[in-house]
Amino acid sequence: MLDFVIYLVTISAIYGMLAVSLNLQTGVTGLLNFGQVAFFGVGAYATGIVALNGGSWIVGVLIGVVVASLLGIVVGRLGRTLAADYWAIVTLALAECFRLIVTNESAWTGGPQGIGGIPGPFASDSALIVSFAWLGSCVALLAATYFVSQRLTETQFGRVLRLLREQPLLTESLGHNVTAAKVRLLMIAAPIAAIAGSCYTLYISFIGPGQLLPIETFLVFTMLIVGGMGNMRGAIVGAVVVQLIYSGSRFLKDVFPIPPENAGSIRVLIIGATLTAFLLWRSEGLFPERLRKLDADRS
Amino acid sequence: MFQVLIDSAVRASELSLVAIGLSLTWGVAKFANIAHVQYAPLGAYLALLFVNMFALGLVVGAIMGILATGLIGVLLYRAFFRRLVRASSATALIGSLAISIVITAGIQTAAGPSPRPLPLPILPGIAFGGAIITRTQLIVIAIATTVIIMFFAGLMLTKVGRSIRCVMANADLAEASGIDTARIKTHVFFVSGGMAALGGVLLAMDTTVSLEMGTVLLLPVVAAVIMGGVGSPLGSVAAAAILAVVENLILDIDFGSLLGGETTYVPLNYSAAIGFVALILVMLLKPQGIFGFGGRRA
Repeated sequence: MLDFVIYLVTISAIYGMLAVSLNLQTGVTGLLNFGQVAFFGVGAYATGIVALNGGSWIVGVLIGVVVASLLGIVVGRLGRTLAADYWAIVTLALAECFRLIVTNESAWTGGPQGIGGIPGPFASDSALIVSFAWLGSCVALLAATYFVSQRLTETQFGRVLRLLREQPLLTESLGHNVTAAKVRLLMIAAPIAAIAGSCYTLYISFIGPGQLLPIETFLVFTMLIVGGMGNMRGAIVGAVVVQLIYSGSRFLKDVFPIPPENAGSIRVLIIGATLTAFLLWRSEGLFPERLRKLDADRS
Repeated sequence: MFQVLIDSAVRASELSLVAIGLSLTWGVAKFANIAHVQYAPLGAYLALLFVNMFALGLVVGAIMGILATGLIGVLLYRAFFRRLVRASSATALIGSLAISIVITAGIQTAAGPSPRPLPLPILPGIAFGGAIITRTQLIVIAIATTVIIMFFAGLMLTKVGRSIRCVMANADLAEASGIDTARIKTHVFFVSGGMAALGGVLLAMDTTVSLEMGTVLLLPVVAAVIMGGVGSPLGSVAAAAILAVVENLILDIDFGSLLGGETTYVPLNYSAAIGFVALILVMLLKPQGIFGFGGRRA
């Protein structure tokens, strides 16, 4: 039981980073990134490939961060000409293409079998110490991510981003460089997702194309909607709630007679039902975004 | 060369049937329904279910599957998407991603993960000018062409078709001039869902009924819709045909000798990326579609 709780908190912290990263893009800036899993995958595969070639995990994480930033620049520049829903589909397509590449370039990525047996950063005889080390570092990373993102939204740049979400044309006419703002934001958000990917790979000590399915992006979107779009605390709470449902429904088969081959798809169905219910009845999420209000009427 | 033409015709038929519906619903309801491509496997699985459950022939089962998918498309729109579009088209897009994944997971729960064939006899192919065409492929092309022609006849010549075009052009004006836009949208979602389901059944006849069908269709179908111009079904058919030819031709071209090097072909595994590359190029160069209708820049 303790093992499961530690696992749940650790994995929630990793997904919390992904959710905060997506919240910066979708919640704050209004960029619908349906390819969030690609940034995650860049970090994950950079770590995996470096480990496979005998490099240190630090090198892997750094390469992941750099490549993700570059990918962020490219994706952000694509946003220059595209309306929001078109951009969403392009990012989805990019992520699918990334998955296609890692599935087929077997010489580098291990192909459909993925890369396994990746050595983690923590070595100890006691498994419990290793789990607590993981727990501590992931929660610390999440806290750092939260702090940076929260501060970011309070700066002038953060206000420009929120204006970009509400009134893109107004932002442009006020003289802000919209493309530059999007690129800058993605250069911050993409490395966060890449670090989450690296953590995931090192923690599970495996990465494969099965982890890069659109379902992963969908999980992170569910976290945002459940928690509350635009609210960083909401994103983290959403990550915990969704992981609780997702990992917890693993035990459904102990209670109900569900054939084991259906367990995976039933878990996805439960998450899908949660997202649908929130979209219909509480689209602002558990923690709605709180915006500073100016009392324009009071004068 | 004949082989490329035949394969392209089959591919274009299947893509068009799905793309027309996405283009129509996107034009009428003003959101990109990603779940639309999942109506293809949904229709094929429902057809298989009806065939097995009621011991029906494939034709009757397929028709029932197609009608059922059309109804599901209408229900999803009226109960779910319509409410989300009111919030924003972005919310509807997220909702359609959710529905898309729920449909896949639902089918997997009900029917299991392994692909299944439709009950069709295996017949020898017909040799034709150095190429081989199977009887199934002939049937696929014939049915798709008939249905697409019927669809356009309906859209261009009937009163309902004219109302659909009015709603696509300007929904408010259509409403003001006495067109029941809610009823028209219901028609559109029924026809679109049904045509996507037919596309799925035809694709399943040619290959198998599989879970991945919808996901694999997503990129080429969206590429065809955007290339053809959102809200322009005729454009989508033309774009689907171009895309099908490019997909089949590109695997056939020896790029190495063209560029004066060793023999190099595009690896077969990457054929799925062709739709994606086409999509990106069109988005960057001509987001209003290659024929210039619809679409918009940020």
